[in-house]
Amino acid sequence: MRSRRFPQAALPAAALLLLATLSACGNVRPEANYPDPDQERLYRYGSVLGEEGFTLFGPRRGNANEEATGIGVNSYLWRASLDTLSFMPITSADPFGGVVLTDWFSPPETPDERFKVNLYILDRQLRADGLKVSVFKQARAPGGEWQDAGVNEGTARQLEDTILTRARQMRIAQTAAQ
Amino acid sequence: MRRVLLVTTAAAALGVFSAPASAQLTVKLGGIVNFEAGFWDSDVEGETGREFRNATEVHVNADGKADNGLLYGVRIEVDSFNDAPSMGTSLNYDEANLYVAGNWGRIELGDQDGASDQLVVYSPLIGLGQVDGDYAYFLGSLAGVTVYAPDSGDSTKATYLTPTLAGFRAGISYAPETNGGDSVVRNEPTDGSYSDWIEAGVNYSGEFSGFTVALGASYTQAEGNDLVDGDPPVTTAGEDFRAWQMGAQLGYGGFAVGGSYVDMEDLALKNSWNAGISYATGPLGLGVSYYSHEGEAGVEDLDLIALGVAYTLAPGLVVQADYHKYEFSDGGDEGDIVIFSTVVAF
Repeated sequence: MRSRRFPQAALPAAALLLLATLSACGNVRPEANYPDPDQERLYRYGSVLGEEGFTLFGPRRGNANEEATGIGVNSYLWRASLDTLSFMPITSADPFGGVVLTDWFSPPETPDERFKVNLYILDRQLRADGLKVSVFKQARAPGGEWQDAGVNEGTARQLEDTILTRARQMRIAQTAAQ
Repeated sequence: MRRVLLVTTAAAALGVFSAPASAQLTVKLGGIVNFEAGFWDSDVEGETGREFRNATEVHVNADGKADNGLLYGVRIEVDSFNDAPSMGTSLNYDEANLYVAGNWGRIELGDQDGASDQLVVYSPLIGLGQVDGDYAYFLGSLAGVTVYAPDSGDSTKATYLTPTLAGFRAGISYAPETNGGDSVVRNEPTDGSYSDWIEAGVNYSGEFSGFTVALGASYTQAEGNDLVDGDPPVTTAGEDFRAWQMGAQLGYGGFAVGGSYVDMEDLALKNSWNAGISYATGPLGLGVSYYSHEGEAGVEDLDLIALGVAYTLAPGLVVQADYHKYEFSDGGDEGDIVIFSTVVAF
């Protein structure tokens, strides 16, 4: 006894209509995220192996949002740092630890002062507290030898702001290109 | 010199073309072992009243992203749940499906819960799951009690899910036959089984000044295979049916409150509803929920109240307990059960 009481075509049609209505809601962008309620429930109290679980092979999922670039820190902050510090000679740049050390540099207009910058990128994410800049300054004493001198407190912060702005510009440019 | 150049060019070409293909696929291994100790008291004669239960699952997920943004992968769940008593130590695959997804939505093919199950919203639960918990493994008279609308389970099916649009998601599934999720082909109906499952659902989740809101509605239908004619019918199973479910959940801080109603007018189990409240603070979670159903033709009305607690000792190590008290109408079976559980998830 297989009666056909229900108009089966009506349901998919209703679903498509709903989808069309939702799509028409202005500038709502669809998000390609599809949570799995079963697995979320099983792992809601975490995993012995941390947030990520155990990856047999392939890039870990946490890196996926910043794309796999082969470097250990945020790629936008890294490139923005090198770009911003390009006027100074760089002695060491470690993309895995996120450390950039410059050599001493005297601006041509003040040959009696010289600067050195240590820069650390602390996070994989593009965020303001993911960057730490230290600026050192030395001045030439009357005898000709270099002596440590105080740096204006705002200098390091200004440099950080410049790098963050540059990183943001790069991020926006790349997102727009996609 | 030319030969050297040729070789290096070939090697470079190989490197360039093979690198992106291998770099994009991530294969993850995970799983849980859940040890449960149940102690119960019921009116059923001859029951032991205590037993341990071990539930094991192993998950293998492979996820890839093509250069054009297409997401694809497989989900494989291997578990000990589906075992017949005679082979209680073997592992069978439970859910296994592949998917292809993008901004246009997601298509899932294989053995997986349908769209109504995936999108449903019901009472908030903690730890073992209170009214959606593991009591039915210990108490035979509560077998089949569920907070969901009747669905095809893990029967082999095709599902389409929309992407999330302004908090809304929708989906629809089709399963030709009820096959419990295996590779066997049901080439003829059996009495009391169901065919042509259609499961659909839509849900919404949003957040307004600290409050989280989740709303869900789902619909399922199937054609029954009532092959043995008789008056009255030989079985109550096997009739065509339609069912729907509506649910809501509201959260604020660590609190969540919600419930759902399931309407199954065409079945012997007429309707059910559940409601509950949960509270989570740091490693501790507490939940209480209530379930009730009404039936006819041999299905007795049931009231079930459940309390649950869960404490996360370390990431992936949880101790939890549930207490259930149930009562069937008209002097039917009544009793209670407490289940202690330790889970390690990796």
